[in-house]
Amino acid sequence: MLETSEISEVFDTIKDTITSLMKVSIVVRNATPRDRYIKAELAIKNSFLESFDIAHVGHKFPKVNIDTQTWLKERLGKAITQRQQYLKYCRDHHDKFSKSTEHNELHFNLSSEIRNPVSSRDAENLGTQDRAGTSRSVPTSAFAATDASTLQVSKLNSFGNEAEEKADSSSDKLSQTSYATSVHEDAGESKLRALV
Amino acid sequence: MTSLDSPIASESNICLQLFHQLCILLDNPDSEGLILPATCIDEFGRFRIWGNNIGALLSFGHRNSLDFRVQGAYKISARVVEFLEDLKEALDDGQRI
Repeated sequence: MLETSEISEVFDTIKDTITSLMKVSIVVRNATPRDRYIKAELAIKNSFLESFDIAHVGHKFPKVNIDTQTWLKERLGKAITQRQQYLKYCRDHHDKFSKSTEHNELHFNLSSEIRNPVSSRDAENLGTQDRAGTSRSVPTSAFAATDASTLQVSKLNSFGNEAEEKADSSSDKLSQTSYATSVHEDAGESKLRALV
Repeated sequence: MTSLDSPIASESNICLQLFHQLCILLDNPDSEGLILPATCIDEFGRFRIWGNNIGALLSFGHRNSLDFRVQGAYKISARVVEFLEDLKEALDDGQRI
């Protein structure tokens, strides 16, 4: 009898520990800066051709062709180019991950394979910024450190609310759904991610 | 992969194995206690979800790994390792019982 109640305690410990791990990973996730960094990074990869977009703006809005307004035309055109690069990057990114799932080592069962592409994609978002240069990788992690340390205290108080807020504010095109749900419904989390 | 290079990955993998062993042990019809094998399988699943999601199971060489991501933030990696060690201990205890 004593043994069986001991093992149920052990299992409670296991459950709580896993929950704590998940909390930590929320912190890690929230601390990773995204969005503008990724956009800025794309500029390096893709070929330029701003002139196309700038000319396009000129065609659509003939009034901008006056010399005094060239700056406006160029700005709009460049913004379009940036967006195009970003979208192309997203697509390439997605393709990249459909291959990388084969390299992932876990083959316990099918469901873990489904989770793999999503997880590595999200993680790669952070990894790519680091790839931009060693100078960038250091501030990214340092950012994480300062963000994480401030987040810790507040997280200990209100776990669910904060997690949802932060998930919304850091949302990117490729970002994940709110993490709070995953703690309670593991199956739900994997379904939501597949849709994204 | 040396265990010092990617502590999170190695600890996570150890936990995976322990979980697996524990589930096998529980499958044995003799050892029905307060713990159903289904419970163990659920926890195992939760751990795997966590690991997959956060890249804890990838070694340092991969950019996606948790070891890589917490590079600058040693406090976080220390906590993760601490949790993983707790988990390992609990799984060990579970096996002995």
